[in-house]
Amino acid sequence: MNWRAFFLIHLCTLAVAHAAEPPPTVTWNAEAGVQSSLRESDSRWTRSRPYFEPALLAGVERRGLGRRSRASYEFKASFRAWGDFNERLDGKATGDIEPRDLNVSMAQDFFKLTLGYQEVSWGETFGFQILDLVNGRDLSDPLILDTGWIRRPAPLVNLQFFTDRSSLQLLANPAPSLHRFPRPDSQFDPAAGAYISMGQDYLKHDDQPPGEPEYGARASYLLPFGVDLGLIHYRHYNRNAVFVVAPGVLNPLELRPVAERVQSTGLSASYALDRFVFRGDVVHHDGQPLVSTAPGEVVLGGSQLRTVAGVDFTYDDLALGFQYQGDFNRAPAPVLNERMSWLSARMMVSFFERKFEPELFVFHGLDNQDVWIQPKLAWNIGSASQLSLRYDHISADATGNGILGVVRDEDRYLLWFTTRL
Amino acid sequence: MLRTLSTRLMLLAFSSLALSATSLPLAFGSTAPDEILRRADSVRNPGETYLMKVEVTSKDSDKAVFEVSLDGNSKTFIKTLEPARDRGRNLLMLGEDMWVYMPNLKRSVRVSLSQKLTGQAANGDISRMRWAGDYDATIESETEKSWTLLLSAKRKGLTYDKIRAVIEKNTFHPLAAEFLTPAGKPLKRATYGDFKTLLGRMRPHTMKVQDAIRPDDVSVIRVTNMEVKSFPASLFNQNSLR
Repeated sequence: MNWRAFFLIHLCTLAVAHAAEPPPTVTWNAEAGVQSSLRESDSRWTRSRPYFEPALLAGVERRGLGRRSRASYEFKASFRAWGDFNERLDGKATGDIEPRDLNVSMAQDFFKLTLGYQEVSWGETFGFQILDLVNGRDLSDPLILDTGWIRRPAPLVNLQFFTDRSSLQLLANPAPSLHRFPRPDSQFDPAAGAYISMGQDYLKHDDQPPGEPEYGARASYLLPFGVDLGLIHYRHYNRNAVFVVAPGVLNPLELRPVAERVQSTGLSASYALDRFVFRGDVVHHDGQPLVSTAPGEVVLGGSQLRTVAGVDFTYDDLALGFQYQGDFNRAPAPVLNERMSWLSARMMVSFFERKFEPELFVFHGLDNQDVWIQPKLAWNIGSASQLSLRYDHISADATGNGILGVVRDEDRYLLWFTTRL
Repeated sequence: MLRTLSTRLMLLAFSSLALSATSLPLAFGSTAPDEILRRADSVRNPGETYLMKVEVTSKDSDKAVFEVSLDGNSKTFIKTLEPARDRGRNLLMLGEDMWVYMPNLKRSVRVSLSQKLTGQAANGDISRMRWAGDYDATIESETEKSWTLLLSAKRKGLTYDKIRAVIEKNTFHPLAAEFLTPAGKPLKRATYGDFKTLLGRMRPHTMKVQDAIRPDDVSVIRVTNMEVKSFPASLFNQNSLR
């Protein structure tokens, strides 16, 4: 057989095989919206942000690894384009185009591999999600704490194995994206003053080069009687916001966020019983930098244990949730908060077949002065749009006791319109 | 030891045969309630694993469209396609455990199985399409054309504790059902209709669910497509829920 005949036969075989395969599926959708917020203390508009977030998902089912095996291949891309007319003190508009998802994945019976920009969320509890360690946060507006909005996607190698009741996830992040804090001298700069401002560069005390990889694993098992257990271990940069006072660039002094290598080990659990769902997360951070009792200093090599336990109750259109949170800190030198605890509650209800959904969230320190009250009313307009109005009241001890101190006292209204295309 | 093992296997095989014999239709025209239930299930379910698309319409509520992937009676993945506002709010049910993916949190969250899906439709109305295995059946009454079965939940955590189901005798078509409290008080009533040929046999295309106290509260679940399909294990794991 000459090479032309060989090539032709192969081409025909491939064409027939390809024609027999299910065709690729391509779907797209988009979300558009605008956020406007008004700060009560100075009656100032602090956010006027239109945004557009298109998403594309392309999938195909083809031969997998091994004989006769099938695999699903997916490509996912979504971006958020936004502009803001009120974010800077000088009134100039800012904006950005950020990737939210940019990844490819392959799923075959017992495993799934996803490569590229993505978000991974661990943990069972709400509020300050203490096990949600994989992605950094955009805290440049510290009153917007909606995790789906502020989580910073990371370029991850995400390998998952599945059995009937268990799973194992291996993660590696070669270029960690740390928290993003308010820009120096912006209206959310907690330090803004004549001699001091927020710094942007992280201060790393270890000798590692910036961007050392983060990596870890999560194993989970659904026990036969319904308890869903998860065990995590992650080596990463600290996710708590701690700052040192250091010589500055814009001002003589600046607050510089501290990045330290931390080893975190945690456990999550959830259990549903009739109309109740019980949830709990606990995590130990080894090597955590903690706020020193000496002003402007940080104690390195600390040990922090964080716990959250809660219960949710649902009945028809009513949902109620209560949570306890406790933080316990130990360090080689005196630290500001050795022990802190909070209680939080959330109530959601819906009326007129989910046309109106009022919600109330209350977070209160038990041994500190943190208070956060957030009433919210969402109006579902048609099948694709929502208009929500919420009010945030935050008060905290300015000396740094508690975890809301960095936000300062704030009262704010936020109007958020969103529509899905 | 080998002998003990082979004896046990023989005993197991014998008991399986005995069990399967009891599940066959009984002689002289009477049929065992479990067999009626199994055959009624096969009317609604074309295979062990399949994909179906359903539309749920309710009074004063937006039309909801779901793509449902079922593997036996214990694994179900429900993808929300409409309304656009809820797109991505997907559900996973494993036995009596349920998770929902929250797009705003980008995370799956454990929820109670009794949570409402939309209108009068509970999660279990779509995710649990088989009664056999979940319920013990007894024949409550019988007419020339149909049986009325009383189904009692075999374990806690199912969407309904008791169901009264009416099954047509010749065809094993489910005609109607009453979903009851443990005390036997009706919660909802359902009627099955629009029987058409789909994947080789007559199957109901609609299920009308009505609140027992407020009869005006009605939801209609309509099957628009059905396809026998196999799925990767990763689809039915709460840690890969998207």
